[in-house]
Amino acid sequence: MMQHVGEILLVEDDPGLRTMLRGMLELHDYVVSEAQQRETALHMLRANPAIRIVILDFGLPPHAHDITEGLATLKAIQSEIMAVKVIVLTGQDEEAAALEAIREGAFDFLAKPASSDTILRAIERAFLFLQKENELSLQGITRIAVNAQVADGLKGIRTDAEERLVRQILKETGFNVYQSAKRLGVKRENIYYFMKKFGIARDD
Amino acid sequence: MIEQIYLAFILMGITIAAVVAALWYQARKASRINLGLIRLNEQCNFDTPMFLEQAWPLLEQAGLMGLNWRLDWFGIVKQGSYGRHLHASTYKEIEVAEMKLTMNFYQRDNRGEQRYFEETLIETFLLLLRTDMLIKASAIDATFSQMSKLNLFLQHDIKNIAQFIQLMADQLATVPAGKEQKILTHLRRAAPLIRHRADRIVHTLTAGSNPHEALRAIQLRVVLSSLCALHELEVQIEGDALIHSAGTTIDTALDNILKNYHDASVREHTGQPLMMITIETHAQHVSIAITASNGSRAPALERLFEPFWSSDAAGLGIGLYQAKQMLEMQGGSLQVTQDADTPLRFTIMFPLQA
Repeated sequence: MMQHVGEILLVEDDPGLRTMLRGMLELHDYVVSEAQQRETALHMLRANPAIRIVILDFGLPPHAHDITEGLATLKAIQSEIMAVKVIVLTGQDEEAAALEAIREGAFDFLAKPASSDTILRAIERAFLFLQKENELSLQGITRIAVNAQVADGLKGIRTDAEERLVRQILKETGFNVYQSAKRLGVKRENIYYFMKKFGIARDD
Repeated sequence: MIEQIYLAFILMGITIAAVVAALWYQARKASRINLGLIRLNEQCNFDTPMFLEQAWPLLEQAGLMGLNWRLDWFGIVKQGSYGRHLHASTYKEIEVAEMKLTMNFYQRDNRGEQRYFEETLIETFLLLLRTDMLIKASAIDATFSQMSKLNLFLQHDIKNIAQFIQLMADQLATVPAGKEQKILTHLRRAAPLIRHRADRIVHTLTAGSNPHEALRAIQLRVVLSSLCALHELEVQIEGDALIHSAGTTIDTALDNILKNYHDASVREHTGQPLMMITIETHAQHVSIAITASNGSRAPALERLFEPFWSSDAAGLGIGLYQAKQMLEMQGGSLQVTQDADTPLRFTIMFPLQA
């Protein structure tokens, strides 16, 4: 088993299942924290950078019987460019939920009931990807994910990729404009220009 | 000369009286037949095929010569033919959802007032049939919508239970040496929580309790405290009582009420309210009054006990209805009040001897 280099956040509204999942993960020496809804989860992610994996149920209150709240949580995590991998573990309508999860950048999608092995394998893969991305980052390579609407041609994807990259580098450098400009090989004025163009503020 | 004019007046008067009498008789007959059709429709429980099959004698009494109809009832065709099919017919068609009715009415070759009486009767008949078909379509829509809500609700909970069982089985199958105690500890913690979930499913499906279940002694303060903890609600309880309830009636009723407060606070981002609960023992019964410190209000008080109605888009709308039914089955009651000055307040009355 790989060395665990980060904590896991369980976002699940069912207290029984949450307790069971936590027990299973702790048995495999993972450090686990819990949240039962979106706001708590986001608060914990912002407060604890040691969390690297999120296991997310899509059926969260107040919409426990559809995917809207889980999806909103995933979108919020992605929009804040948090350095975490999200594994969706859900009992919601599989086809629709899987499609939305992938579209919004989930690392993996597991349908309930999933075996312990399946969940553990997904976690190990996520940690492996995090580790490799970290290594690439040291070589100056940043991985970004952008959804492209093919019909919109190249211009749309260029702008989206540009925005995503600038946001990510600013996030990684703690909003240090000088360092961000250095990493991107552009002038500081360019960074200010992009911040204005994409409406990027420090609190984003 | 004057005698002849008198005679003409008398004849005219007699003629007018005869016409009025004839019209009065026909109007009375038409009215009686119209009412007869309405009563027959009620006796048929607004069932279109049954009404169609039984309506001909009344239509015939009204003077119609013949009728044939063809009913496509959700893909199955049924037909009827009555009387004589002479002269030209009047064709009518009604289509509602997957129900289609076509009819041919054969009238006598009337040129007089009888034609208008018959037309009125036909329109009444058609109106009743259209209403019956709309009632059926609306009942089907409501049933499907309720089934779909229930399925969605059960699917979520049952998959969570399946996931719980899967994880438990996996862990028990491969207990790492030296970690037996750890597994046992978290199973002890998780099992009651999932049992609570399973109980909720059972009660949702049965929508009531079995009155023949064994009586169980329940200390109200203990149950209320644990349910509030489960729904992460702060609580202030005044008083206490020991009651005897069949099965889990009182637990489920209280759980359904408290869960609404939790769900509303999450939905409206108002923060968890402080629940204020007062338990009082009276001569024959115990009363439990539940209200919240944040002044929670119901958007439509009169609909709170309506099954499958919910102010929460994600709610099943059966919890409070079920709570009321279960309490009433054991001789108790559930009331809800709210006015301009006071917030939503639930009051449970439960007999001391259930």
